[in-house]
Amino acid sequence: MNRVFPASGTPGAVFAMTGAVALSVLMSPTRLSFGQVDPPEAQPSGNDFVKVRLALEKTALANRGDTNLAVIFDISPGWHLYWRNPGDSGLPPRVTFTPIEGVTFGDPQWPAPKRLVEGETLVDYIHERELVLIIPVTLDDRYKGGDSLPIAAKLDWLVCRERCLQGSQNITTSFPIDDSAKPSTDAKRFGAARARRPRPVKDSDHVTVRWNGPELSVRAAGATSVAFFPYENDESVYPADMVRNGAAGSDTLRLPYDKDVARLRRVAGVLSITRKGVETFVEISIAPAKPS
Amino acid sequence: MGTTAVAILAFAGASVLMGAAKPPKERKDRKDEDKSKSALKVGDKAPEFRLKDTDGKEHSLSEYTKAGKVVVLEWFNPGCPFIKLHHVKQTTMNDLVKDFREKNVVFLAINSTNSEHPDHGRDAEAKKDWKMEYPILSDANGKTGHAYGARTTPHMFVVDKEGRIAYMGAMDNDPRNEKTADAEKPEDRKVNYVRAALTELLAGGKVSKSETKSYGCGVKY
Repeated sequence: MNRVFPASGTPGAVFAMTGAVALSVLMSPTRLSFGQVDPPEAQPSGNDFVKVRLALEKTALANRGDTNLAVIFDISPGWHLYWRNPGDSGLPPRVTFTPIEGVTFGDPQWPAPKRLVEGETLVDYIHERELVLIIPVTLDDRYKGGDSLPIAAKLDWLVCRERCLQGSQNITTSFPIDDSAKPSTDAKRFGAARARRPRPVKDSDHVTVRWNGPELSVRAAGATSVAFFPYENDESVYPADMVRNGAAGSDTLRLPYDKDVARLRRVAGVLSITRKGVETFVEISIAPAKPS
Repeated sequence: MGTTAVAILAFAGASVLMGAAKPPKERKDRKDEDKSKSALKVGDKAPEFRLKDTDGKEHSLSEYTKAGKVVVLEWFNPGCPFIKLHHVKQTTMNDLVKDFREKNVVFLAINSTNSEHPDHGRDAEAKKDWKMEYPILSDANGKTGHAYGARTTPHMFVVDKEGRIAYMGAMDNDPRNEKTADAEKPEDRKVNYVRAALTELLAGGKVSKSETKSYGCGVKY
């Protein structure tokens, strides 16, 4: 089954494309390109500021079961890519794999982003320098490709600094299949990305999330700072004014939603908690308050 | 009111924390109230403005609403790929103008890019190159942009004949330009929210999808 991700700018469309659509994208490289005012040779491209490659956590893929693949975006200093929910502006990068019989590409594992407040009126959720998107790959009995796996992926992204530029690239590569693989030279990158993944909340995290009317109160006892990164959602319903309300230099966030929050199935996202100078990430999810 | 629900925490994608990271940026205390995010809502009176176009001609919102016009505002920056998407790769805006200008609808682009930004000062060139048949107004101090809470280019506002906000948000549901109007599956179908709002408004009805999340480049205030 092919995987296309993400489409956070069009909430709800994550992994929603069919194989046929994905293939049409791959076969039409100009389809997603934006227009240009100047002659092409005068126009910088997003490819000038982001280099992309596919990498394995181990030296080979496993014959059976999960192996971790990653798309590694090497981002030029000063430039940034966007998280799955880009915030007030921007668009997340996307990867489309060409379907392969017997190969399943899993959900991408987004590391937590950083907040970028622009002009004191916009807040974006961004990745700087390097984005490692881990994607589990599973081979099953239907795969008949022997001891290697050729992978073709189409990547497109929006990279911004003072200006925003679009980039895209088709990557084809072949990975060996070997159950006795060892950690690859990129294994540390996978570990660093995993360290910014949100984990389930435990009692020992002392996190409470509750509604006070339309306001979502999030408290991480003992924290010196907290920040909330809401996931994209189908209804485009987000807390008001995340510039002011999305992060606090204390243990409590108050996130005012309007009545439309009742349309959401869940309010969910990543909570960053800093205690004693150490930042950790947990995932929170709560049903919306019932209208009163 | 007063509903209090105890949190139910659900989790996915468990992982192990492996080390410390930088603490999140502290929020800034904003000094300038003009820069505070607009709390403009659909149905509110649209903020008045008086801005000059690329020929130096002044335009105000009220001159059009008093004349019984519906006004479409497009937050604009010719250096933004999403603006190019709707002016070059597609002719979204020129198509809207063609279809609605004879129906008492006025289109105004507003550029709130600050004068220090490299994209500033390119409006006249873009207007000519892209054959735009409506004015591009300069809001280099960002006052009008802040009053509307414009966040992205494009960020679209439709103001009804009474001068109230009838629609605010995205141009359409297709930031990656991959949908088509006649796609079989509803999720693959392109919907231009501005066109839908104008159609409903001109038919004397209520705009059914009156607010969406805009997409694009951040406004360069």
